[in-house]
Amino acid sequence: MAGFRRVVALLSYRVVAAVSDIRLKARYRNGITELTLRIDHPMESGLRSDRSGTAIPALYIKSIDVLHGNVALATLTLSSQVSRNPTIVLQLNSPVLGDRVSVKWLDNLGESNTRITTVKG
Amino acid sequence: MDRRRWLKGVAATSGLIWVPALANDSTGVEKTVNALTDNTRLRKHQEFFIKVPGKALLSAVVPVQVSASMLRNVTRLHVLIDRHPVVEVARLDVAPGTEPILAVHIRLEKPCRITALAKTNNGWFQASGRVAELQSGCGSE
Repeated sequence: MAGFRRVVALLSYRVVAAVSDIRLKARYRNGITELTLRIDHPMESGLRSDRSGTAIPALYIKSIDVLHGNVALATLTLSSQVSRNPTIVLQLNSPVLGDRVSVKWLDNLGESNTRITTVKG
Repeated sequence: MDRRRWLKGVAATSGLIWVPALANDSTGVEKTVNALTDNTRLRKHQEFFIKVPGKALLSAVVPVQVSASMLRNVTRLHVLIDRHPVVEVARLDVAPGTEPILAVHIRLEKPCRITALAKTNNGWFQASGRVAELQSGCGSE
């Protein structure tokens, strides 16, 4: 029974991860572009258990890639210690007003999602 | 054996078999720092700093901001935490020439020290901040 619950929990988290969204803003001010991204993701550490005592499987974002065209601007590697729905702010000086920036995340189960935005003033 | 002696013996024994994997104390951070920096001397710079709340409730979500925008030629940032199951919270690799500021939120499980490392062409820099436990939500100790 515990195994079945674990599989159901894992599948439900996979669904959550598959439909999770990225809210991405890129603002250019005083020569610096500030990227604010909020990813809807459960970020389960794998150390918690539910009320019935079944361990909740680990599900967290492993890496976030920030690309400017095909050039990698930044790669962020996260651990399970980061909180749910991670909000990350990066200030970079490379993309300028009107450039297109893409963000792609990948979690420990292999799910991924990408969002592209234009740098605004 | 009386009850009090027996309880003392059990307490002492349970202290000896304490699980080290869930007890990443400052030694774990030091080992990780040494492994990451290859035992390089760490320097401090007034323009490289970490912002953490001084006090927070346990199991709260704590904002952490690492600012390395004034350091030149930063290629990598690390955020490390002691007394938590995972030592390395986040790592940011940036293209040369960028001036990164990283802000993330961390689940706080125990009072801890959060350390930030920055790798530059001129060596490694370190900054750290301590988060103490807030006993009540009203701001009292």
